[in-house]
Amino acid sequence: MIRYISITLLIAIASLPAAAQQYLSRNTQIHFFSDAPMEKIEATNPKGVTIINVANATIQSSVLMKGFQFRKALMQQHFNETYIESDKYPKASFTGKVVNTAMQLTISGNYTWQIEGELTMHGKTNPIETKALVQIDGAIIKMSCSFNILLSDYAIAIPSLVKDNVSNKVRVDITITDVKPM
Amino acid sequence: MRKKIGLSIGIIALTILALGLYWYNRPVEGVANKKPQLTLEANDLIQAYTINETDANSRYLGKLVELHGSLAGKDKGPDNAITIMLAGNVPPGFVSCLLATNSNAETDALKSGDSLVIKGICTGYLFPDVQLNQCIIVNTPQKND
Repeated sequence: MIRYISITLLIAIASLPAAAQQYLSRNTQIHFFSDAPMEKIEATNPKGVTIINVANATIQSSVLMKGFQFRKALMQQHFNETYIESDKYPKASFTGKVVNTAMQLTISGNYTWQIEGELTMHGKTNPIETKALVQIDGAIIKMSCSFNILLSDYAIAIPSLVKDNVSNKVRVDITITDVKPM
Repeated sequence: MRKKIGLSIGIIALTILALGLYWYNRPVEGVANKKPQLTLEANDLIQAYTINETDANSRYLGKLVELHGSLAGKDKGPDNAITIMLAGNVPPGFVSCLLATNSNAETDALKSGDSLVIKGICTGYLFPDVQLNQCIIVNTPQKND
């Protein structure tokens, strides 16, 4: 009898719908902005990809450098050829871990995740700490975060001729939408 | 005479300045009137990237490519930007084509399985998709009707 009960229980447990462990967003918008006395520089790439792994509370966002769209053609060309060298380093990626709370994406509400991780860009890796705002409304999940980086940390040199046109400090804004179970 | 030379130099200088400012501030040029550097099947592009990304980048990165493929899905971003997903045989990957124009009657009419010809700039591979941007739709079944 006990055996039957345990077998029934085992089957019941096995057939429970497993909560998704991995989530994917193909619509991760990366925007950056730098303010210098002569020129404001900003660009957006709406097609970043984010993979969230609930089991180990990690989040990974990547973006293709050639996908950044500028208003001015010359800025886009200089970004790709002189600064970020997108032929040599086609991607940037951030890998982080949520450290302040247990990660979950199933209970509706607004949450703040403290994320510690690192950003790899232009062949250099540096630590990043940021707070992400997470909005869960049923199956609709949206996240956003911002942080500042220094171009000098990523070996991106600013030619002395345009020192006043390009700021060393750049603000990065990330908005993650369309988060779906993988 | 001297006045005339001065005036001419002034006009030339102003023209150069105006041209320079225009060149400096010119917007990113679209791909509509450009000839594609390569033409291939969407699936061949996905396959090239899944087999060897570095090698595929050396052939396709930053190039204006014309792709033939079938529509696997379309997706409207927060700012009405449309992404067309072209199918391949290497799931879960697609070719993700970010259109240069926002949604309109033409993109609204597209259905899953439609064979499309799309022209755009290959920006590389981001698992699980190959990405193109500044895309325009060259041909749709609706256009052939």
